[in-house]
Amino acid sequence: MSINVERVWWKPVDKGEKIWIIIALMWAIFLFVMMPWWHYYGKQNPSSETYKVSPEKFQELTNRMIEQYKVGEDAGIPVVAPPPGSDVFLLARQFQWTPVLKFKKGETYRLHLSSMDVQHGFSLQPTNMNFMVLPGYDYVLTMTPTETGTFEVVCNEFCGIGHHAMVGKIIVE
Amino acid sequence: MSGKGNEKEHGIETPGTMVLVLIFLTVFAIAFLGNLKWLATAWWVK
Amino acid sequence: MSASNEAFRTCDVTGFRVHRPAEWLIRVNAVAAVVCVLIGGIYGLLVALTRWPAVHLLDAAWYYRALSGHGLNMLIFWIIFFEVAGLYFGSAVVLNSRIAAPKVGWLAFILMVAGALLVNVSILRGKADVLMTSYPPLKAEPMYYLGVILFAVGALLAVILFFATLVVAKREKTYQGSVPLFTFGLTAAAIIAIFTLAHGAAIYVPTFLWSIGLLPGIDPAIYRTVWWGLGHPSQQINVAAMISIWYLIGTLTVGSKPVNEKVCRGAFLLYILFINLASAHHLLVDPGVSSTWKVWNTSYAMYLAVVASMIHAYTVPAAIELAQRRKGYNKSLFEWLRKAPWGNPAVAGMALSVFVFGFLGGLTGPILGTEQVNIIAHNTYRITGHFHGTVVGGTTLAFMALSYYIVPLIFRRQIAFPKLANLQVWLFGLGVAGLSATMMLAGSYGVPRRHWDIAFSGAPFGVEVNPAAYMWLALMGISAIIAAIGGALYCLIAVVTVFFGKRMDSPKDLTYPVSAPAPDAGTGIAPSL
Repeated sequence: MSINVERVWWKPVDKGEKIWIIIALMWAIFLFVMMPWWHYYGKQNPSSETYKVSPEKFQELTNRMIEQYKVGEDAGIPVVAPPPGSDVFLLARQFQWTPVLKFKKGETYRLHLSSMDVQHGFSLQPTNMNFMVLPGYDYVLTMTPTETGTFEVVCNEFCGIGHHAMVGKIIVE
Repeated sequence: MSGKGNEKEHGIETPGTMVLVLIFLTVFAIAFLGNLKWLATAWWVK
Repeated sequence: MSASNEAFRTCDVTGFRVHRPAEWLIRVNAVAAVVCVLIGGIYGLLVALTRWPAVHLLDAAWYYRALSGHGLNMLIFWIIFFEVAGLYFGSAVVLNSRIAAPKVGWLAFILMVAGALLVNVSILRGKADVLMTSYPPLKAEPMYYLGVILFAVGALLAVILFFATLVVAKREKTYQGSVPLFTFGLTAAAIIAIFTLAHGAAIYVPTFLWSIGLLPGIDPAIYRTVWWGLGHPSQQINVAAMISIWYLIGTLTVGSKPVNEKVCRGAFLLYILFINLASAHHLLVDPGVSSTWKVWNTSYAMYLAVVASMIHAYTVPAAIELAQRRKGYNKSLFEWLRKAPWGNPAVAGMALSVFVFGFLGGLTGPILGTEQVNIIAHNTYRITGHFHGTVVGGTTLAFMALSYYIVPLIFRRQIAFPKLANLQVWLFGLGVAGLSATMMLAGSYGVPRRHWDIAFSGAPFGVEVNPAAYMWLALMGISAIIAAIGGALYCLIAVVTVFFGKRMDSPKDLTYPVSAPAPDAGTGIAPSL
């Protein structure tokens, strides 16, 4: 059989289609505006602050913080209570978060995340906030806890067969 | 298009579809705004 | 005509001149697709039964292996084998043309089969516990990356063969005017496939070299950026192919023709131009890229692709409504929908595909892709729920629905168990809808994706997971079983039809009729294809 498809590009658009395309465009513009608007006026945004860091250097920074502000141990992991406003280091490795952090409610901390080995995921539960942790990168989140309690840091990026046991802790007082 | 049948009645040729997509957009908008509101209740700040 | 006439047969249903070498290529790729969906489905059921906490079937190592196998067999092998079959159908068959170079098609097929085998063997050997994304520095054995590369090279050859066939058809004047909408949509998919596969080469070749020790390391942030240039646009290939199939099913089942094809074609163009930027929303909570980069790349142009999807959301049902109204189903707002041929599994499958894709997979995409919302969603089960809505409820179901036409036309067999076919699309569609919704609901309580045990056994600290999450995970398991039954029925029907189905001798043997064009809706069946 012969195939003959009429060319379509000059045909006028149906009224219903026109209305819908305009509505869809307006919705898209709203979505587009929403993200930068929220960026300036909303209270939650992913951080932009990143540095290159070697695993050795990050380990050293973490150890120094632990020595300075260690207040105890929990399940064999050091518990650290850094002063408000300070640089706090949370080190990820297969399959552990070091150290356990103690924060004060309403105070702001600069939380540095990095990995010693593979990629990990920082997932604060039950609040449910999630960030990536990559080796070689120091990701700095400026955080202010607004509730007291015990919070777990679950690893939510697959990091090996023991992934499910990788749980850390943040205590807010 | 040919301009017969429903076009005169409704002004557009496919009113049923228009209703369906408007329902879709409503769900979309509620879900989107609901997520932003939900986000605002979480406790960490940038 | 450069090819001899013996190489062609004339289809007694559609009147197409079918190039036999093209037909064989379509057949083998379709069979490979069904084999992969069967393997991937078995893996998927094992994964779901492990994530249902009360069942918790596999141990940790085998859970992650099954998860890797599920992702690759379903998302890559099943879908791409089917798409390659679709590309040959949409070029050679629909355009009445010979396929440009059948030998290249066979080479592509052999490479793809070899790649799929290497990947599956590597996973089963336990030497590729890296999941589908294989984020470095997690390392698999070289054979795994080699398998992925071989498969991708094969797929690239198939895409090139598609373009070459378009050129041949144009030069040999096998059609006049524009290419049909189905072929146009597939062309959009194929163009997206080219730059998607280019990203794949750009990241898998260095990763392979790293795995054999020729490169010292792969930067994890760069890997993520480039890998998602493969990972996300490849889903857009699926979307473009799926939407092309929606239009085709409308034409085959109710004789529909879009209200204005310009609008549909324009929307496909928007996909080609803007959809690749959507890959940025996988990096929203990553270090390394700034907020400006994130906001800009996920918003300004991704939303033009969202507009494109919303346009299709209108034009796909509108085409069917128009055809039905012209057949006289004109009474109320929805008589056209009520009186659609629901007894035809292609119709029910397509309707479910549109619904699940739109309401579960589609609208959640831009929401999860909002920079701020991503904080509460990244790597949770919400993400998994989203893409099971798009790629399983949408793409896979559309492919299944189309099979009920393609298999009789290409294999010349009558569908075995037509009653089961009706049940199949409903079981699969509703099962996947449940799967997608329950995953998202569980994820909203922070349940991580790709996680063996939300009881966190062996962890230094206990985690209190909301009991509601356990309930949603149990319902997820049940939904998965329903979907798996639907998937198994599909494989059963496809295999029995292809190998043991009754031969088709004339158009009246066609299990599901090809509808005549709706009145006033076009100039014949072929143009509206």
